[in-house]
Amino acid sequence: MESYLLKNINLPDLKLLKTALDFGAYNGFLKCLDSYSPKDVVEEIEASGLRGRGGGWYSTGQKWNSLKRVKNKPAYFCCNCSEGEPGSFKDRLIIEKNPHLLLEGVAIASYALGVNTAYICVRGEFTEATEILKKSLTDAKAKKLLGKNIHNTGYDLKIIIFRTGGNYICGEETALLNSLEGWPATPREKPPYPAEAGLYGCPTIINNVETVSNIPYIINNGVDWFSAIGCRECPGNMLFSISGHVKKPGVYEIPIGSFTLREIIDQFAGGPNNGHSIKAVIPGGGSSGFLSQKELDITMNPDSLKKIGSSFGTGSIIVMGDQADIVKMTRKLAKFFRDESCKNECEICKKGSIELTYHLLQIEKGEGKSENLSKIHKTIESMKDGGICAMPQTASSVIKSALQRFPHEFNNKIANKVS
Amino acid sequence: MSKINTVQKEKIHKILKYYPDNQSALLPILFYLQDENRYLDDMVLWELCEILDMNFQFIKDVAEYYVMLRTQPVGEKLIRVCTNVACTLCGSEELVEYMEEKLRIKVGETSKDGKYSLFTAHCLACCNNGPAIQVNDKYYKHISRKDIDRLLETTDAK
Ligand SMILES: Cc1cc2nc3c(=O)[nH]c(=O)nc-3n(C[C@H](O)[C@H](O)[C@H](O)COP(=O)(O)O)c2cc1C
Ligand code: SF4
Ligand code: FES
Repeated sequence: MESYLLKNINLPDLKLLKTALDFGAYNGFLKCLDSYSPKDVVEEIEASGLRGRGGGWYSTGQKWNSLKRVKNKPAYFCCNCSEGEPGSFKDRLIIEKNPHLLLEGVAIASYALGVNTAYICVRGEFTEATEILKKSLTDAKAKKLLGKNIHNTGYDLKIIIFRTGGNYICGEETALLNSLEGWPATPREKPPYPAEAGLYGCPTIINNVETVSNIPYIINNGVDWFSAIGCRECPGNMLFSISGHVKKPGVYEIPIGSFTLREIIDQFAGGPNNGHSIKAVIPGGGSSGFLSQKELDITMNPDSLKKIGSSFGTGSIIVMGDQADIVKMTRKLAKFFRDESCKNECEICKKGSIELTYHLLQIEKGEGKSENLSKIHKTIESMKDGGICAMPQTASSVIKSALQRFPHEFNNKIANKVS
Repeated sequence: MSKINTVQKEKIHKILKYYPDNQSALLPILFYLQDENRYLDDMVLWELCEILDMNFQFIKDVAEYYVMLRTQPVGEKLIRVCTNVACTLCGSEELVEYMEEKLRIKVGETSKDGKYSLFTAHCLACCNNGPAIQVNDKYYKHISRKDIDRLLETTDAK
């Protein structure tokens, strides 16, 4: 098992341009400039089978191919570093430890898409990451690896590092575009998709940090190398963020589809804390919902999780030991969806998440009645169809996953109510 | 007295050069002014709307929308405790209670001496190190009650 994304991640100086260059940074980009047409690069990425790591698992090549160029309008590229999915911390790691990998990926994507202005949108909280990235950009520009007339090829790329306002919804791609334009970060109705009309109404491609970080390796090592890693439907390695009740929480680089959830927890994260067994696992970040310990033998790839009504999401595994209060964790997520929904007026999103949080809190406090539970079920149903964005659907399926798998946890609290 | 001084105005014009229109530069400018003033009070926003030729209420709405921007005074140390799932599993709720007691304030409030404001945060992308907190710009990991005692002391001494 070969790691590439995290290969040299622990070198303290990897963020310095000199060290990064010693380890081959920007070679992929220069190779593109020297011997690939933009079209070649798009074809290469499409052939590699790379799928986006931002949670949607959309084919990167297909997304790039869907860019609708419009005469006299520029196209934009935007790297999404808003990382706010509960349980995910891999994007921040890449930005802080290997900023030149990210910058090179952005440069290759921009070249492939005929983009001369790219944005890197970093979550507002990540001040250290932002400073590191800014310095790296300045250094790379000084060496003519980015900026004007890169390596005397005539290709210009201006990269703007943009600090987002920190809200979770800033990570939704159209909300991100609105915030780049100086509006509150509210999602836009789709269609049109950003690839047709995105930033300032111009065609725009948005990709996640980890997606972008795969690109230099695909260019350097070739499509055959990449497609041999992971599984056929979803090649490559994935950065799994593992947290909660495990011995060794952290980010692990693992080929997609090669291990079960249980193997990942045991072999990489050291298994559950001493003296505890696993009660529940969130397999792909807060938006993916709960799995029970009976389901841990599922192979970790996007399609297998989808089949059981869960999702691979951002590969963020949160492990809950037998000591965990499932009702509380469910309420925490309901509250998260309530507080992080945007200011658009999708009734069902606002009202639904408020109701879910309220009734779950009643149950958690031991003051719940069976009516609270039936209200929750009704609200879940009503949120299924969603609003302008996927938030209500996600909230609905997350809460449902807990009720389905752990009905006794909820019923017990109701039965035990003090009254 | 002007709330936005000449040096700050120059910096604002520098930021404007990066962006295709004034509105796109709004967030970066608000972040800059907040770093200078700790929060964005109405007078600052009034002057900014003159500079940017934008509507006051619009600017205020944007500033109020984002969690990282503040339109109300906050303490010298703004503490944000993550209370999302992974950090809750590691005990962040008890930590919040402890801080509330120690600072004699509730979440969302500022201590009487103006030194500390306490907030909760949604996941800070630091879940392997829970409970995670952020004090102003700095992350602190694996926070215990002892760390809180120390943190409030050292920040006190400053
Ligand atoms: C509510 C919401 C929050 C999101 N947050 C993020 C995020 O923090 N980072 C991210 O890369 N994608 C996030 N996404 C997905 C983006 O909309 C977009 O699909 C992604 O950035 C595309 O990149 P990819 O194709 O490389 O995966 C979010 C989506 C939704 C609906
Ligand atoms: S569904 Fe919710 S989060 Fe999404 S746009 Fe509507 S109100 Fe905003
Ligand atoms: S849950 Fe606390 S940092 Fe992610």
